[in-house]
Amino acid sequence: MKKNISEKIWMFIKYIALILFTVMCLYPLFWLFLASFKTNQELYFNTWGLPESWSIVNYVNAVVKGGVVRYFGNSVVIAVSAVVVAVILGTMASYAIARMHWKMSKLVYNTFLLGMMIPIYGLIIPLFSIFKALGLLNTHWAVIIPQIALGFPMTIFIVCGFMRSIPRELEEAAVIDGCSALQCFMKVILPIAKSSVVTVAVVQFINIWNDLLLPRIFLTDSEKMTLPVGLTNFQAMYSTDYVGMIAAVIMTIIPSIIVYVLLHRQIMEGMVAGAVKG
Amino acid sequence: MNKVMGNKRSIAFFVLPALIIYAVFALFPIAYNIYMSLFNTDLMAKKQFVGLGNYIGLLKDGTFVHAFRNNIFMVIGSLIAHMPLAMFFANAIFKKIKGAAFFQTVFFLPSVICGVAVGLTWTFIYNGNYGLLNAFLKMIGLGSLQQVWLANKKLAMFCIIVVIMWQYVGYHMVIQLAAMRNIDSAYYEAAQIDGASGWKQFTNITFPLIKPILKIDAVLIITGSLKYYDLVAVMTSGGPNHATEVMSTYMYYQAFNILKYGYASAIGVILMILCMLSVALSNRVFKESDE
Amino acid sequence: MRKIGEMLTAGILCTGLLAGCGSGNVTNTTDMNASDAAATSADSAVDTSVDDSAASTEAQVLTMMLNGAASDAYVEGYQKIIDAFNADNEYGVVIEPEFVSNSDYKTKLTTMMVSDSEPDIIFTWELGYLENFVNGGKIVNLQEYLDADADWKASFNSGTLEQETYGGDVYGIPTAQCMAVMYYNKAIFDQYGLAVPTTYEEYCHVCDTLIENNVTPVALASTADDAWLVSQYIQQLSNGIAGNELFEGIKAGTRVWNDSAMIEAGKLFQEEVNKGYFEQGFTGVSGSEAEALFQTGQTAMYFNGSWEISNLDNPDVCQEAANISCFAMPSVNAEYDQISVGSLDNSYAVTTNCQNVEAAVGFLKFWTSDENAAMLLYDYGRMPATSIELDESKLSSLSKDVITCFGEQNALTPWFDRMNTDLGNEFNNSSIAVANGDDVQEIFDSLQQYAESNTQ
Repeated sequence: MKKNISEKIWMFIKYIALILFTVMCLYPLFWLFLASFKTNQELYFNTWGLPESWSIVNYVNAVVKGGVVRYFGNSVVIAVSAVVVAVILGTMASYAIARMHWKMSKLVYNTFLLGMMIPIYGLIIPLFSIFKALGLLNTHWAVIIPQIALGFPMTIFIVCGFMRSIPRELEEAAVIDGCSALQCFMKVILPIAKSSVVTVAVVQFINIWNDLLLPRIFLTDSEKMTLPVGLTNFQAMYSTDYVGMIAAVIMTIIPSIIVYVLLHRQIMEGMVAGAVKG
Repeated sequence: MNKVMGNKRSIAFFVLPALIIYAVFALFPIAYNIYMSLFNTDLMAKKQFVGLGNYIGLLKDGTFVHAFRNNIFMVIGSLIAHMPLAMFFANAIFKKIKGAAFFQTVFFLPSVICGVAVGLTWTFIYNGNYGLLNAFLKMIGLGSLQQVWLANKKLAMFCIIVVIMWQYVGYHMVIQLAAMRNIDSAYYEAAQIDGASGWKQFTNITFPLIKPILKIDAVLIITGSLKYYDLVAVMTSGGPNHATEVMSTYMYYQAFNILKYGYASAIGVILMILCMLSVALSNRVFKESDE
Repeated sequence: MRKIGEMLTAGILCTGLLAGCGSGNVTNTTDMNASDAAATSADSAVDTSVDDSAASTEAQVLTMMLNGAASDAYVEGYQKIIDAFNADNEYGVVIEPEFVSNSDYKTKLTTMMVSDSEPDIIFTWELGYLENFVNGGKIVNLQEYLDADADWKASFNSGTLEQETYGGDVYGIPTAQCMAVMYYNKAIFDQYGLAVPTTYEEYCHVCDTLIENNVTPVALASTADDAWLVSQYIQQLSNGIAGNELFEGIKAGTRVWNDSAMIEAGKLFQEEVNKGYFEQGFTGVSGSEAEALFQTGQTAMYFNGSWEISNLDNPDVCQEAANISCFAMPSVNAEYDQISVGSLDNSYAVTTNCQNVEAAVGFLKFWTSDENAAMLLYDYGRMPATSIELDESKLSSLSKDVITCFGEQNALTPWFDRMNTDLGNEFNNSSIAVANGDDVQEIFDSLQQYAESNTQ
């Protein structure tokens, strides 16, 4: 009986902590949402209250002056194409590293992981020169390609981890049935590894969607900019239009949230699987 | 079997596309950086070979040493704050409580949001005059603790680490939770029969079995903390007076604001070496659970 | 395709390098990139012009990068000038502007410069900032163009072109001038019977009276991004203590950052902070927040640059617009009166990438013409760097006040971060430490130490 009570108290503490953190997670979002209806001065003098009027002028500004709709389209193009290529090629490489027999596989694996250890800020200038030489500056490729290259380490880290946990027997059976390596990959391994692939795709989509640095530097034409860059358009030389920026921020985070809410089940599964055997 | 799975051509087919892209757009820039770190250069007219001069200069540079210390503080802070907290939440949700799916979704949410938005929101929370934190302290009778949080050189770094924690605890929780869900429920059933308490179940079953994931998680936290840039740049730009400078913000400043490109490259190289060292270290720490 | 192939080989070469092969190949690789780069950029330049000429006649495109964001009012005015020039110019060129927000400008220009892809005409800050690029061989010497057009050269106010002169030649063209002034709210001053201070004692009296009446005297910001607002205040105090000789001395290296005048300025500032001259918790207040305090009449004064005119005389964004005027900060020592922090604003330079310098210079001449300078002044409050006939009826009253202030100055000292980006930024950081109440002597001692260790 005694145990039951302590268990109950423990349960109570757990719930308090969970609810507290829930509030902490949601409140800032709620605040951003409210702030998006305020004027710049209200932001400072009525920071935590309701806006005086539910005027959508900030959103209108964000769309008209800030060009948010156009940026949105560019963001989708860049994020989707980078994720698709990075995940397909990364998964293929993972397969060879995790399942196939060759001497260099460990070395190649470690070389890829090196990419997780470099800050992207250090690569900007050499990349800029490369893209200039290839004539790709100010095209979406200049953002997509590095995102692909830098997406590999994470993809390979997680997908390899998952694939290594799949029993050898499955493939052996397939090979005896006359499958080629490609068929083994497509028909045996990929269906099992699906959830880890989805996880990687979602995490990368979110990263690329939120990335500010690459589009900021490699794109010059405002027609080609992405959403987060649009946010900085509200920062003028001597002052910042915070409420306009917040309205744009709201429009930026909504897609991330939708993607996450739609796919969170798969993300969980993928994490389970991918993380289990690293 | 080996004939199929060891086929050179298939291996090349699977690996080469990724490897080539990676080599050109990631490895080549890394090599270029290492090379440039040996020069005193602004990449324009000035290019003077200085050997290890930049590295020696960094050791003598008080700001860099401070930034370095901040990064180490961040790594340690994130490790001891992220992991147990994430583990606590993961364990709480794992025990099939009401609303588990809801909590899980909500906790992950902050890591989905871009740094600009997070930084902006928390700048307002920390604000000295009408910030939520000060208002809260006043409400619970701790008004004497009120202050301008991000302007306090002793507390600013700590404040930023709290925000990073806020943003990523849910992320690490999901990773750990995933591992917990993967544990065979038979273990717990057996423990139940033996009458093991919740705490005993955690120390004897859950913790040992998720250890491999904790290793991965540690690697993610360490490399993430060493490379960290976003929130520092948005919230304090490394200020007040370099108090929150970290290696990546310092590197960015050196390269783009004052054109000391060689010097900045050296910072990048040191950052990379540190990452590798700490990954090796965490591999060693978690070694026994590996094999 | 050939180039892609080369790049791939280059990449693989370097992979080999990483794995521990010999070194020395890297130099070749980089050189190869550079030459390829030049070829490609020429190609692409031709491509764009062909694209454009499909619609109009054969027009050469000059690219231009400007500092401005959607929320900067003057962007509209700049666009007007560019449009007018594009519609009709004797060179048959088209200017293609790109506005980059301030937070990205330096990063972007640096990246473009070091990879040889800078636009033809660039926005720049004077003194130290432009000097880096001049030394890098990136900027066209404009001296001969100025010499060839005596009227144009003579139209610039004295002391302006000098700040973009390196080795005796001019490399940048200023389009505006600016200075830091103390904006004040006439209604609040009237309410407490205060007059515009002409000495530092009077300034203190004004502040003290306001404090007695529970009005915050001055709005000031000091977050890291707005550190320059604090440092310009301290610099202004130091001007009033030791005159512009102090600035010139530090610039020339004959005086030190821990000069006794600088220490005195820092201590004086801390004294003001302690007396409550600035809003509570100003160390955590951002620039736009401080401005909002002044715009809504919550503080009586606000110390900032003349570029703020358009944010303060416009009733749409500023409730107190009708009450705002300004004065130049009075000096601590009477002998150094009317020496303000001030410099150039919006300078432009032509880069060595430019294929048609003639046309680029023509465009800058057009920009600095009386007509355009007047338009920018009347409509957007930008004080021209050239002398123009003033039509006072078209000036807002605040613009008039600022111009009067400006005309009364005996000397201007540029912001330290324009004198030298590196040291100036350190000065800004040091100022923040002063604002936070650290020991002034120690702060400036270590700043001097930094300066010494960073100049060979």
